[in-house]
Amino acid sequence: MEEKKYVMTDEPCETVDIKKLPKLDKKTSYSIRTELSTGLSLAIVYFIFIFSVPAINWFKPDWAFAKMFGGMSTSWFLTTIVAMAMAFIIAYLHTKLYERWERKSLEMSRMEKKENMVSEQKSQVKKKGETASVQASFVESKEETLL
Amino acid sequence: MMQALLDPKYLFTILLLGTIVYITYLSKRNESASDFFVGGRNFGWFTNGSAIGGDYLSAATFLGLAGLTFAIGYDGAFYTFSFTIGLTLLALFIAGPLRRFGAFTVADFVAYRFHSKRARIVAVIVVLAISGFYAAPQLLGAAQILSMFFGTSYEFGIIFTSVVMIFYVGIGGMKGTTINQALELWIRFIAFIVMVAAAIYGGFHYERILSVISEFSGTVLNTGAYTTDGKDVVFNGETWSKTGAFNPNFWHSASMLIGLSLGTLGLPHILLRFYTNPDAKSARKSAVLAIGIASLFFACAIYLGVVGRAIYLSGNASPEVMQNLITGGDNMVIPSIATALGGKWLLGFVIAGAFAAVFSNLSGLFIASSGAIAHDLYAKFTKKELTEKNRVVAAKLAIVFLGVFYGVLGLFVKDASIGHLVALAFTVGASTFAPIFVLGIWWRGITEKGAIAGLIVGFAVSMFMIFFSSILPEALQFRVPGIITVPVGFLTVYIVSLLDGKVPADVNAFMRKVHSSEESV
Repeated sequence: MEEKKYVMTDEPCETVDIKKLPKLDKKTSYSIRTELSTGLSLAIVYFIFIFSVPAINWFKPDWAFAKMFGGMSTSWFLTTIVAMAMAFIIAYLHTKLYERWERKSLEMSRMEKKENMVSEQKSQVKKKGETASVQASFVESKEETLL
Repeated sequence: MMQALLDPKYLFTILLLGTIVYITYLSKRNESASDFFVGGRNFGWFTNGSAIGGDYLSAATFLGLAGLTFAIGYDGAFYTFSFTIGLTLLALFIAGPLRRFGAFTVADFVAYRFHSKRARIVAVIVVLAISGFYAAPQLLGAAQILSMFFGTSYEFGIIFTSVVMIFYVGIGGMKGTTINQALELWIRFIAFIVMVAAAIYGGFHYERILSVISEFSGTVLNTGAYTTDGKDVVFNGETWSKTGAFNPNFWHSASMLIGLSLGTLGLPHILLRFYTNPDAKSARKSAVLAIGIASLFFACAIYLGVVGRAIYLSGNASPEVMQNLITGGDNMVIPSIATALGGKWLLGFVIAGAFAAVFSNLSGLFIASSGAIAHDLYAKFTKKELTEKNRVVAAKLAIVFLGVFYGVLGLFVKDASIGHLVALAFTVGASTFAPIFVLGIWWRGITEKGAIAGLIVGFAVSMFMIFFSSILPEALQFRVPGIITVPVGFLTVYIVSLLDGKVPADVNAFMRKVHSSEESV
């Protein structure tokens, strides 16, 4: 099945059965996988922390509300200080990891382009060489005939 | 007259209004629809990040969260904590792809993703509902602030704020709104920082005051004069320092976390902000900046709530401060602390900050809703070809209509709870747009029918759970019913899409558009 070009419109578009939908190209599916796995792994770490706060509050209250320093209990510290820092750290890490991935993917696509160019040049040179040798053999055979 | 104008609360408020007028005048040239709705997509990550923060940190956050911590202690801090999560999730899953998609409005995403006019109409209805639920409490807050500090009537407060918003957004469009929002964010952020510095300078060390509060048990001195029965107020510090005042069990806490965190992913005025970035990289950077500012802001709000409680328990504050802390309600806590810590100058600055919060949040809602009316309904469903000028005029007329509509809505919610209405907006957002955006960006299998069903069911269930919770069994009566409505929204989209199975034929090309790195494209 030929792939349709994406146009931003709300005019009705042809639909296909999801089972018959062609696979995504390698590059896009790699992008989605990397982007999603980065986001998901950070989100999982974040959510474990987030839900652990009410969990300890309700299931381990003695530990949650035990004083750490001054009147600051473990739960106050986690909720009002660590959580705020964590929201920023997770988002910052995501941006950094994404930028690293973007650089890498850009480098990869540049390398791919370069490789394609080199192999194209090689094949052109080879083609030229072949043409030259065909021409040479043609000239040779012609000379022989003339002789 | 001159004497009154030199009063810091008038002075700072007039300065703020003057700055808004000046910026609006400077940015009044909106020649195209792109200029008006997304500011020409020209803003850098710093301005955009500040504007996202401005959109997110409403009057309810500026005044309400510290007030809630003051009133109910740990559960108030937990409520604040639930608000910090949403922007991070937005940065992780939505910011970049949404910018790469690059449309004008939230309904554009739904309509273009599924090539469906029906989906656009349903999305517009949900956008207007969420914006209405969010705008009404902001207007209510503005009217309360005006009434508290300038002695105006509730009705005057609503009309005044609506008129300011019509002028501000109608003339400035997204350009003026963004610059104003960025400026307003820094005004209230600086106000908070100054208050925190004054509190620390005044000897209110966090762990020390928490210790004093948690050990306090008994009657609070000098409070009897302000209570109706004339008796001193009784306070138990241990109960205040622990959970249970707002959320009666673990499930209520978890429901609040789910509703408020995923609600951010479905707020149209926040989602819209990611279209105004020049590229996906800036979208992510601006989200990180907004998260940094919001996190620090929330941490300061909680600390100031604790400071307010410490001032109150000491019984040494001025009679005016004590009276406001006892009878003024949650929204008076921040102004009372400002008066106690820095006198009328700090109070004047805080009042300007509160207005900045109202204006910046409302302007985001006006832009999102005017886009829904002028771009999603008028421009898309009108038969004739519209010029860019026509579209801008339509958007401006939509803003006038919204000003009147929200104003009337504001008059009707005079006695409603701000927190209740904001929670409703978050719950509807979490149960409608959050599933559509998350699944629409990451899953090829979502279909038009699945999206429409998800929007309708998510909207209906969240409205029911909020307005008719009293007829439900007690175990299901959640203040923020995210634990029920969010899974219902996601499952409806998923199941209906699986049953339908008919996806747009260009879905692979759509995925390539929203997930390819821009430079490689």
